[in-house]
Amino acid sequence: MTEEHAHEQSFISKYVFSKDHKTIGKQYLITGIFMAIFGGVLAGLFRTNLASPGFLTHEQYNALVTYHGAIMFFWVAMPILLGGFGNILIPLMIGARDMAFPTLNMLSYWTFFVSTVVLILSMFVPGGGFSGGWTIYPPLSANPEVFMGSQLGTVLFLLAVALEFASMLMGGVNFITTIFVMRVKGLSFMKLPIFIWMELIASLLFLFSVTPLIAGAIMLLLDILLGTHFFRVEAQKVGDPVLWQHLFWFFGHPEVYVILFPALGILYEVFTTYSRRPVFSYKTVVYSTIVAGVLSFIVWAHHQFVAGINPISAMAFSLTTILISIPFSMQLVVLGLTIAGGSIRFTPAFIFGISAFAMFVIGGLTGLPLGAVAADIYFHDTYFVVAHFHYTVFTIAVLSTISGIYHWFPKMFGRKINETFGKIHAFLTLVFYNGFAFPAFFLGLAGHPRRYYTALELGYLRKYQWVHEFMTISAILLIATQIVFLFVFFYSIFAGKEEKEPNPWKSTTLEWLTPSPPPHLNWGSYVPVVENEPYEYAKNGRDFIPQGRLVEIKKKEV
Amino acid sequence: MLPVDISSHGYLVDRVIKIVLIGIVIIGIFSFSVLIYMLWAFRRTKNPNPLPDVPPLLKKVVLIDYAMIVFDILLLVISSYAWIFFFVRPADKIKQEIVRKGENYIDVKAIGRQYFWTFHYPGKDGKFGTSDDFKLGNLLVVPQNSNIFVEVESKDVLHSFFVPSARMKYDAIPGRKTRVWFKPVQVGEYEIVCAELCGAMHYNMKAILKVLPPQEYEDWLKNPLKIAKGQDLFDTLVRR
Repeated sequence: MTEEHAHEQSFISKYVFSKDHKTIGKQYLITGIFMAIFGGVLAGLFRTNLASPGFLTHEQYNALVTYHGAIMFFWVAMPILLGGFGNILIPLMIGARDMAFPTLNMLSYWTFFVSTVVLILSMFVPGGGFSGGWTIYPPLSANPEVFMGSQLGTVLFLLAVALEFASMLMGGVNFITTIFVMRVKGLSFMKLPIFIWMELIASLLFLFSVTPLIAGAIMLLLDILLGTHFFRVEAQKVGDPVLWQHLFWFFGHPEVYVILFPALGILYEVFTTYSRRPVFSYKTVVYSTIVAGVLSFIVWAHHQFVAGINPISAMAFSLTTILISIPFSMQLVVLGLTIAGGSIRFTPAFIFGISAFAMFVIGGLTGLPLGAVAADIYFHDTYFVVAHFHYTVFTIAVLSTISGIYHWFPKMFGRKINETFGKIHAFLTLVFYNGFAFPAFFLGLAGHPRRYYTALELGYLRKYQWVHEFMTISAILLIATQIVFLFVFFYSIFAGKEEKEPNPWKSTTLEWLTPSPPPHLNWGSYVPVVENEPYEYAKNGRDFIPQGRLVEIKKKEV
Repeated sequence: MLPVDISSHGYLVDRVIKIVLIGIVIIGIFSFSVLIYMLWAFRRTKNPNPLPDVPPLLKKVVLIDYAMIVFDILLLVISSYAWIFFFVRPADKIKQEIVRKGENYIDVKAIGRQYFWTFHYPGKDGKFGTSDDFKLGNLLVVPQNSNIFVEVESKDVLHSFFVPSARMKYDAIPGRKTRVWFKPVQVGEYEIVCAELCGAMHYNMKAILKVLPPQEYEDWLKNPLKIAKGQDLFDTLVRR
């Protein structure tokens, strides 16, 4: 390994308060994986309650549902897909030696770490954790003392979310700057790997959408702590709870794409590599992602069709929502056709990737009944919504993420994960996941409202109790499978078979040129030079042509 | 899987649901077939070297984008039609029409609190705020084939007035009064539930919608509270 340029580092500055983008990325990744297991166990607990009511108290049940949702969005999907993969891959894929602001990057991770600690603490304070749903709707959340009896838990929960946003904002600024100014020579925008495009658009969406929510969160904190009436309604002092919903979902919908786009980016890298074919239409991907990103700012009120917004504007939002299915259907067609004519190798990364794709087709299509305003009268806030967003968000946060982990694991750690284990892992994950998520569509059709402690209290739902039991068993098996994966993941980091080959999958993008794991400052005494398009597979009779090559540079230029 | 539909407008909602579900199942089955075919046809053992170009037949899959646009337009039209019929016309306007046509209607207020519904009736004179007003806890009694105008409101947190059998859902928002309309055409007892997280006992916030034949309703109206007294849940909750 060419560590000659790396100055001597102590353990703390190398592994704890590191400014190296790869270490920070791994810190994000590992924290995110632990939070994923934690969030999964919470889900296992409240699902157990749905199968056998009485396992938890009502407050505990609501709190677990709340924390499960918030953790999976803010402490799993975002840190892994943006903080983890973004940090590790952006500099490597664009040929840079580190991020634009390494110190800010370190600060970003440690702010995130503090937010994680605050979040977990908030579950165990007197009065219990916040139990008002991850959407934090007032007045329930604006007067938690009265309505839920968890004042401190709510304040800490909000604080944790705020810290997480601050951390992701630092990361986002860093990503955008890095991608704009630190691309290696020859790497023009239309030659960027799609994953980089996705990270760039996702960071921009996050930056533009989060401001109104931060303003809203401050107003909500003022309501809780100082008794203002932005959202609170009391006798003559009338705030407007619906205002919060606007502020939240103006952020909330772009936020979904903030995590979706990097996940799609992973799928493009995985599909091209293992099918040996270029992306079916690179330009379509870039433009449709930009269009979808812009449209995502004008669909937010589809979360509020029956929440007291003007019915005419509900129709307008229904129009934009259904419109947004067009760029996504284009994306998915391009993604699917990428494997057409290929020579597919069924590695664990590919199996997870293709499962993510297939599940995302289901998730995308079932968005249509929810976007069509008349059908949403019935489906709003039922299990149909639960099923829909598990088919989208689980796909994003778990299936694509694991696909990326298997794909880049040799690059990140210089070791391998056992392939047979990976295949079994993929198969079990897919079976158990569908076992818990698919029946939820039928519960939704039957009119089962979300966030119910038990279905047994309602006559028309009592007969579906066996469905809940089936879903619970599947969910617990799903979580157990992931816990086994966690052990194999850590075992492979320290004791997996060593991978000497820098490019084991014969992939084209720049990160595969440097040794695994990449040395400090990534390229040693070389510098990458970009000569080709990002995905030159099956071209001119050659299996693949790397995007660039390494050129040795003279010492003084380093 | 859908529960029985007792409302005059529910068939519109059901029609949208059926069309959209059939559409997405067709698109889904087509997509999965193409996907499975590709995984089978282009596996490494069968196709050791990638083709230089995508087979022409598979390129036609791009047409699914156009099919999607057509489907979207169809969906928007039928969905908007149902929505316009159901929600966009202000309840006040519907009421004027109904009065002009001479159809029956009743006014009622649905007020949500943690964790029960109260239904306020204007009494014999048809006006709220007079001495013959009365209220019922967790029980909404309405006559069959009559237009029901429900003014949904909340006194504490968000609730949602959800009657699955009437394809009816609207949020109860503190500080706002929203009037919704439906017309039950079938006699029987149906459930009213809360569809917006409102606290610990959210799942238990339920009420009964009792649709009576018009004559029985008139009889009941003569002494409504006698029957409503049976709802002891309400008594305990109201006293707290």
